[in-house]
Amino acid sequence: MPRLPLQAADRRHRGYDGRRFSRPDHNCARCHDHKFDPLSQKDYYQLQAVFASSAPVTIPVVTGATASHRDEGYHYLIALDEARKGYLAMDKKVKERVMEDHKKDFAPEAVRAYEIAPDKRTAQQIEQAAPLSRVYDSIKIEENFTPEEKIQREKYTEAIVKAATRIPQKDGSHYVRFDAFFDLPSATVLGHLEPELLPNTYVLERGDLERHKMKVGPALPAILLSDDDPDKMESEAPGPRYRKQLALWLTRPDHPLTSRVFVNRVWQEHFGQGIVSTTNDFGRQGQRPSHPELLDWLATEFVEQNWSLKSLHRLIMLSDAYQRDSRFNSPEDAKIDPNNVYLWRMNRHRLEAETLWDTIQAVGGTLNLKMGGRPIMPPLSTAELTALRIKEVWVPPSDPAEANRRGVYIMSRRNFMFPMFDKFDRPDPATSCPRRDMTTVAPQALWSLNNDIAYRQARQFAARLLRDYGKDPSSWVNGAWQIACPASSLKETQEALNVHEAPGG
Amino acid sequence: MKRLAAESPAKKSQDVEPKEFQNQDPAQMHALTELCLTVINLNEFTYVD
Repeated sequence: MPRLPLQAADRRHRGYDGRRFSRPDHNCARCHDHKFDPLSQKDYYQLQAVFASSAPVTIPVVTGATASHRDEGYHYLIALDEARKGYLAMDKKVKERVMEDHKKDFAPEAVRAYEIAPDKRTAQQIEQAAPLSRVYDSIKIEENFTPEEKIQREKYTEAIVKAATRIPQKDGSHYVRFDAFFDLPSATVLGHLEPELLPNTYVLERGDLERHKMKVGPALPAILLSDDDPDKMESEAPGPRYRKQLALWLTRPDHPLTSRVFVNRVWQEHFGQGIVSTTNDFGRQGQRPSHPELLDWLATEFVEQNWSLKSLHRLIMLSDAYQRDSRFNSPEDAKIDPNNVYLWRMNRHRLEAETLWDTIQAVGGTLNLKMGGRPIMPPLSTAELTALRIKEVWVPPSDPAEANRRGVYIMSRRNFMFPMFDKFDRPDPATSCPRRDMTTVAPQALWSLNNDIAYRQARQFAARLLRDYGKDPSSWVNGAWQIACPASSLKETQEALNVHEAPGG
Repeated sequence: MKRLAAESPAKKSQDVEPKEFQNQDPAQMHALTELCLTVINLNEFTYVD
């Protein structure tokens, strides 16, 4: 049995993984029946069978007409490629000419080894040729041009620039902007495999791909269905309709988990802690809800509002609980409920990494609210790029305004976290994160005080104060406070710190 | 103040100075920038009450 399709289906299944929608977490059941919750290994692999008929497919998200327009412009790419070929061929010719002069400095065996094509050299020849290869790599082409070659090089450079700038940036009739360099905007979705290609799904002994216990078909977790439930998937053979059936089952208005899990997550975002504090586990090992009736009511309201997130946010944010202050002057309340489980005050919490980025941009008046498009890579210092193995993959935008877009658009690489986000507890994007950490550590303060980005934004903030509050220094402190900390009273803070204005402002 | 302004990170920065800073006292602009940097580092800015 080929391992790759099974591993791919397993990854798609674990990408669904239950934690986001249907708690409890059923990943344990990959290797054995869940120790605490009524989920069997068979349930796990039956859910995997739902995804067995799918494979990721990248499709253009443009019309056929736009795709045709792009294809008709293929000659532009050919022109660019030819210009590039000429440029690189010339560089090679110059380097080889310089190498001919260097060859007399090496032993004849080394030269003979070097003259063999690199992919045909033996291990000994590779070693013998290594010094000449190093010399070749170190040749600085610009220092070795003849006057004629220099002129030719400039012509090739001009040809490349001309060919590159002639490539259309958008479809001429529909004005759809091509992505990157003449690529069609596309999306990766789950497509359907042909029935003849569908792999069988088996319950695996201890999760081992090589050890099959029994063959299973697609089905939903037995504990969540009754015997006469119409959503039971009866057929043995997996097919495309089962994913749709799974989606419809998950979004049934009377589903016991989906809406509760979802509103709990949103509640956690607003309050720093969910009504069920174990947001990834509503099972026996999870915590009980602190306000079960509230959870039920929010869940039903969410469904009745047609699963509208905006309505849910509005409902929560207009509540009395949300609008409470985090400050308090009642030590008795703090003694009774020190963890604020019963929401007698607001929980003070730190802005998340992306929100902090947006806020720093916003106070400087530079936040770019443009939506959509490819991810951005704000400029980073050489030290910050050290963690990137191939530095060229981090390409800052040529338009500085693009670098000031919202934090959700900043590129997230599997093996490289944007440095600011790394300091401010952005989670690993490779795994599900039920709740972000909220640390308070020295690197955060060091970043905010010393990083180029922070300083640059401070300058923009200063420029904004000059624009909005004029050149009178006495208005700058109040102005900065009003822009950056509108929820806090400057006067109260000054009194608390026993700070007074200097005479004359 | 003038010495501090001359040694400020802005002098090493590749960024273009905001146009609002032109024709202003560099020492005062440095002080204003430092004020803004201080505000960005306040708890009241980073923590939501």
